Amino acid sequence: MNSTLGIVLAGNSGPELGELTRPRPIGALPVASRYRLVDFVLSNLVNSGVDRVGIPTQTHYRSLIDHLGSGAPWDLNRRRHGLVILPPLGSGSAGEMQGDLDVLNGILDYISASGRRYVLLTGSEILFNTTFDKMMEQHKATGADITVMYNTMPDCRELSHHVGLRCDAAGRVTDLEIDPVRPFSSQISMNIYLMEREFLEYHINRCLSRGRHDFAKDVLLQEKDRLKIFGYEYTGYAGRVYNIASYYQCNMDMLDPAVSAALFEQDEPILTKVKDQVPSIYGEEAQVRNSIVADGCIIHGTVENSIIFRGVQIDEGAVVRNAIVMQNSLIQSGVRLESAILDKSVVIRKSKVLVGQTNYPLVVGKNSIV
Amino acid sequence: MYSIECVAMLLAGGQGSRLGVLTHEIAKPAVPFGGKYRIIDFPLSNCANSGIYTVGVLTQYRPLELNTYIGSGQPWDMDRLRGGAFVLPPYVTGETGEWYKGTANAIYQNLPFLRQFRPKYVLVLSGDHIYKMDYRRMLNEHKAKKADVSIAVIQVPLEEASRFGIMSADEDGRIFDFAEKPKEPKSTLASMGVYMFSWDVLEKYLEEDEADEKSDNDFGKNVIPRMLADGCHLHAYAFDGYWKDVGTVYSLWEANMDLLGKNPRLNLYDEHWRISSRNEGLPGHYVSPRAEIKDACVAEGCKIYGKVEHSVLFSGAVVEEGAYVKDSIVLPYVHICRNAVVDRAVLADRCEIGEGARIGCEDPNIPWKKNKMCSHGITLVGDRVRVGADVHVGREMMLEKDVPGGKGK
Repeated sequence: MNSTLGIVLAGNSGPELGELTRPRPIGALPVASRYRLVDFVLSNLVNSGVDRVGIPTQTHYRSLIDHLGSGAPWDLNRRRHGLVILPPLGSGSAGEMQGDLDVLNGILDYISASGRRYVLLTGSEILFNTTFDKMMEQHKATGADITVMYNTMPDCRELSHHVGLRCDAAGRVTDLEIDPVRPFSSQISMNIYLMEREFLEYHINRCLSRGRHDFAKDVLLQEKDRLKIFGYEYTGYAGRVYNIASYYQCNMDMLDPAVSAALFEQDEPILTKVKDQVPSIYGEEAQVRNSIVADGCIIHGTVENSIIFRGVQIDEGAVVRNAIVMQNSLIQSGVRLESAILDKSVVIRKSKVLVGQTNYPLVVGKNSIV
Repeated sequence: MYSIECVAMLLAGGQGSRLGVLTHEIAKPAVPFGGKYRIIDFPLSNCANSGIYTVGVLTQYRPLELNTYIGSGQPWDMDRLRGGAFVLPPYVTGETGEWYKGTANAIYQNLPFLRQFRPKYVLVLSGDHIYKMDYRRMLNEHKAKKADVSIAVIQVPLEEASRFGIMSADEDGRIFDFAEKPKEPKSTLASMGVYMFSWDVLEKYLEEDEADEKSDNDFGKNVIPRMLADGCHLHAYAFDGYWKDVGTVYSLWEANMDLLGKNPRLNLYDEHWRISSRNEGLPGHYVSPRAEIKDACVAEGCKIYGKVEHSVLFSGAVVEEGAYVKDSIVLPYVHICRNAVVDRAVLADRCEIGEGARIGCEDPNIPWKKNKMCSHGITLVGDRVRVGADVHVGREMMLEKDVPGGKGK
């Protein structure tokens, strides 16, 4: 797929997760003990042979830049092509960005200069492991204008923002709807769209010149009868992050060895930025059950059904259950922490009790001291 | 023309024959250590942390894995525009060409490599030790003392002194006596195999040593004694941190165990002195609902369903349900099947311990053959060796080949 340009929307056009996306765009959200959400789609692109990837950013993108760096962890630090982070140009404030088409218009020169025949336009809010080769084959075989990757979700009502598809036997999208209260379909777009570059350029210009800003509404929905839009079904594990509860669930899914294998034990790896963390140390009093623990942790307390990120310290007598504890947090002795999400570098002082509900986990913001 | 003040030369060609099957395929510096490292990460990280980013790595014995591992030097920040990490194997020059005859000859053969950086100082290191050391301090002391060569020294117990190069120094650190592995040591100051040479002196003595046909071309045996006899200024740079020669199966096991316990003797949790390694980035390790882990060091990508006590588990190791691992080091991607027991063992890369097998048992009915590489009750299983179901392997054995299932061995 080296004739394809990857464009990853890792920023504001994705869902908002309150406290968790305050310091960072969705793509930079830490997930699954040592990854960031953007790692999944980026690895999938690289594993498909896409060696040119642009990531436009809008606001609070520092943590994204810090994470992506030169693109070396994904083998995208190339003299030619490679990874380019595209912050907004000029003085335009984020307020002028009304939709994803504005974002794409802002990087139109980058898109054109790539010279690539195809563009794979994608969000960054899904945990999955695949390559796009088959999707490309289908795209060429059907002669589609746009191919949409979707998966089947039996219950999609709680998705805050979604595009439902209705496909005919040949896979052609005959109807689609955006954010319906009563969805007619369980085939939901994964916000991954394959099309020709010149086609995308034309539609960006066409929409914006008519005061339209949204790819899904103004290209897919408006033009559904005129264009050949095809669906491509993805059947593997896809963890969608669209609110706090789903973020919590996607992390907890890692405790199922089958899900973990579906993401991390495939032919192609999920790549991420490597840090020099020491392996984790378990003390003599440690009691850890049904958990994922990343490197660099020091564990003396009790941990159950939890996802522990790198460099976390859990002191003696502390009890952590059904929790997600992000990088470098410190949980002191005697603490009871249940059904909670601790963002990075949180300190829970001695003997404090923090209890949420598994369907409504408590969120503690970055750098907080409780 | 630019110059680099201090270039490090890392002697990484050693076979490490006392590590038995662990070094059959790889050179000793490439031997895994501490959950996710290799021995060579320590001198390389020390260099990077000391601001020395130009390092020649001299390889000879089975260099393939080491070459791949070092690559561009990127994990140690040594992918540099000027300088960087260089793997230096022996090479052919015209009609002739030869292996590195000794440590001094290895550096001698690479004098042209060194000259291109116009260094003022050359740091000679060996790739066999686990330690954290700031070479900048050594360099500063070397300059302050106006020494020709500084040798890092550490106090060792008198009974072990005859294994090392032993020196005597005056109050100011000036060395007046040096003996390589003396039968009757006169002091307990042992050389750590870390030398800081002033360039002119190094160049002169290496050329002289090469011209001397009787020389073994070894720093400890030939070059240092000759410099001492000539009245050069040899300075003993005192070091008092953790330092361990991991030349034997037992010392390698022991150094890994030093990471464990309430107050570990070797602390790698040092923000200011990180040890870097090339690692592939696996997900966090998985601990199942019925697993038990106590006093252990566990790296990413492991899956633990059984019981682990006082052990070091390297990346990607799997311990199945009912298995019990105690006082052992389990190298990357080792698979320990159900109900197997591993007691006081070193399991090399990707070996597989079958269901119900016992490694390191003291059953007097087993006709086992102890191996002289193994001591202190440690059993060694070689890389990719498959131990069949229910096999019992006695203490201090070294397994190099697959053992099919069934009782006894």
